[in-house]
Amino acid sequence: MFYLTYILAELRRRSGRTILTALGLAIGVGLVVTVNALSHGLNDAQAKVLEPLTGVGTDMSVTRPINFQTTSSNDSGGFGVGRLSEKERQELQQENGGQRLDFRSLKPGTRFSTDNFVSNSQLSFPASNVTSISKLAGVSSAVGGLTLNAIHVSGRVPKQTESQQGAAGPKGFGGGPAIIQRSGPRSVNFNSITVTGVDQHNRQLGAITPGQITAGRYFKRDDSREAILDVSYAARKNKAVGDTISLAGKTYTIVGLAKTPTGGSSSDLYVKLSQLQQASGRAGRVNTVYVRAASSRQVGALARHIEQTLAGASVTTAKDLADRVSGSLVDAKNVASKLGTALAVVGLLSAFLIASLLTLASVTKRVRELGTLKALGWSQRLVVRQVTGESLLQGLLGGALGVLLGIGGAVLITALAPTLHATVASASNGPRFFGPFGQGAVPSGTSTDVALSAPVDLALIAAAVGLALLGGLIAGAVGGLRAARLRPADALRHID
Amino acid sequence: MTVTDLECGIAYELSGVSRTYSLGGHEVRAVRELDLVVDAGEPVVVVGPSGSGKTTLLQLLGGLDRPTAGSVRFEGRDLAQMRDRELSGLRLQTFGFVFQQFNLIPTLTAAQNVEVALAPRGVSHRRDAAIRLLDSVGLASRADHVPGRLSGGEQQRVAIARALANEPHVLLADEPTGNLDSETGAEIIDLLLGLTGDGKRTVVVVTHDAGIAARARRVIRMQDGRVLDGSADAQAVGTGSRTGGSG
Repeated sequence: MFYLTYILAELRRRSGRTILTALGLAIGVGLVVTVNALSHGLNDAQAKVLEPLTGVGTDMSVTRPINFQTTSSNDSGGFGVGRLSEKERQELQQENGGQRLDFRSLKPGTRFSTDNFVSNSQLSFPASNVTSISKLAGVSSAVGGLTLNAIHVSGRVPKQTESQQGAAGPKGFGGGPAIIQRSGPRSVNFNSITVTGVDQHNRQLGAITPGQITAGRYFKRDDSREAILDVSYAARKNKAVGDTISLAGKTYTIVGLAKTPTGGSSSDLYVKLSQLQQASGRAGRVNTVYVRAASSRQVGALARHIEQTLAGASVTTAKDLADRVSGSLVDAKNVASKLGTALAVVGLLSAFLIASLLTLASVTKRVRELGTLKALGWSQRLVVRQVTGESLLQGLLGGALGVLLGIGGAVLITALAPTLHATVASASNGPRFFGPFGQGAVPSGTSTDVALSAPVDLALIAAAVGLALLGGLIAGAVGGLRAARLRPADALRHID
Repeated sequence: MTVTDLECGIAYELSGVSRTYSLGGHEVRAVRELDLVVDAGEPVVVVGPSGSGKTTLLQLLGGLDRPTAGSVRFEGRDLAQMRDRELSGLRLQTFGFVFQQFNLIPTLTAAQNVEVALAPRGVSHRRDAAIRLLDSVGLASRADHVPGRLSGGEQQRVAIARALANEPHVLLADEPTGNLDSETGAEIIDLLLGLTGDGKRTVVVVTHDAGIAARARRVIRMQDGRVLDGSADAQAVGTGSRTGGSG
């Protein structure tokens, strides 16, 4: 207790120097807090942009995309259409051309209605691959999903001319519905939406998770026909929870609305995976696997492993998506990570230097006092402890002030809430209509604005105080070393 | 302490002690080939002009400095051969120091200044012990005053109380009256010389004041780093003062 009394008395005596040292440390620590808070805010903003693309908690997604660039030098055994195996051609044909409507079998004027599920850019694969991936080392969990374009066509069979009847228009790639290729008569209604099948048994991973529900609820685990609508789609179609929606002739009850993504667009409609598989004639098949790695450090290695293990698989990680974001958000991130960090480091080092020099000056001014302590029998260790204790207390004071300054800076940033612009580029040069995480279209150059905030958490505050204490400790060590080397006789001869 | 020293009651035995400093490229010989014996429990006054080596001698006696030649034996142990830690322990347990400038810590009260010497020894009830010590020098009523609110004489009494905190075998005072008026100085000298505790404590007072020397039983006169005369003062009573002044 006496030693603390002595420390406090000394700090009071040299209050000007104490305040100066504490302020120096406070500015350094405040910079660190603000820059870190800003960095957290920018990460949060990026996560907000990427969230709809990545899915909550998803580290990577596995798809089998078709590479339309047949002449690409990088196309080493990929899915160039020219390189599709016969089996794959048949597979694609089967997936997309199963339910054609042949007008020639219908009489003109007859009413018709048909539903087609088309996968334009991705091949599906057996759901057993999901199990295979989930068993790979480093995989925490894996769940399958199926995203398709549901195309509903209805109307009355037109009265066709001979020449029209004879014309065999070009098929859409993969055998897309022939009727799309024709210049259809005005009496035909065409409706296309994106729909994703979600494994309702795995609630933590997938295209949508309970955390994204903004109204209503998530799917029940049973087989009841339930649908969740994207918020913006529901608004467009004037649908609400409790309404029904029709898909391939079946009626689904809308049980919830899911949050509209900011960086890309999600699917319009979500239904249970097994029901979409059945409706689309893809029983037991998926076209996206959502994977969560056991450790974030393993994501890169795991992605390579999956691509090597699963023939034709393309793995997209959250980092790949982050690389696709541009705009002022990225500029701000770059500034924060480079200039901000440099500023914080320089500020902190300067603060440490100032604290050390001031402590050294303080020890020099107190040479005779410290010599007296040594004459009275204070051991070297005790003298060093006293000097270091004073510096540590200054560090604590500087840390507290620094945290206040840092929080002030963060609050100011949050209050000003500057708007950052983010653009999410499309994943490839080819006509990839589905996002890499299988959640619907991500048009090239999709832009969004995000309000920046600078959150400060307890860990950051603790780290800041720790830094200030470290500064105090360094200064104390410098001063203590000087004090320790004082020879009592010389110190007592010193004139203050 | 060697058997011989114990039997003879010798506190200090200095043999061929020299202390040389390097000052601005020049060699300064503060103390030269000094031989001296101080009996335990003996009050001694060291007098001499400025620069005669008095303070250096005091620092050698208190283990604050080491000789560049010779040996300083205290209770049979050669201080020159002891490690810093041992010297520190010796100062903590055995020596008490009083300085010309008092060397009190200005932000601490009188009682806390005494506690500065009590704390490293792990004394319990330090505040009470400090008050008792201040009482012994007549300053208990000023225990909670900071040095700035005490007179010079009072401050020196606080310093003496602090020097007595470890019940030292040896009390070493360096110009204790240098910053005091003559009347107060005389009081302080009487106080210091009276602290021998019936011959149990050796008291060494360094001064340039001839008047103080006149009050002491044994006076060691120094000049140019040498002891001129260390005999028992002609006017003082008693024996047991031996010197080996080398010149």
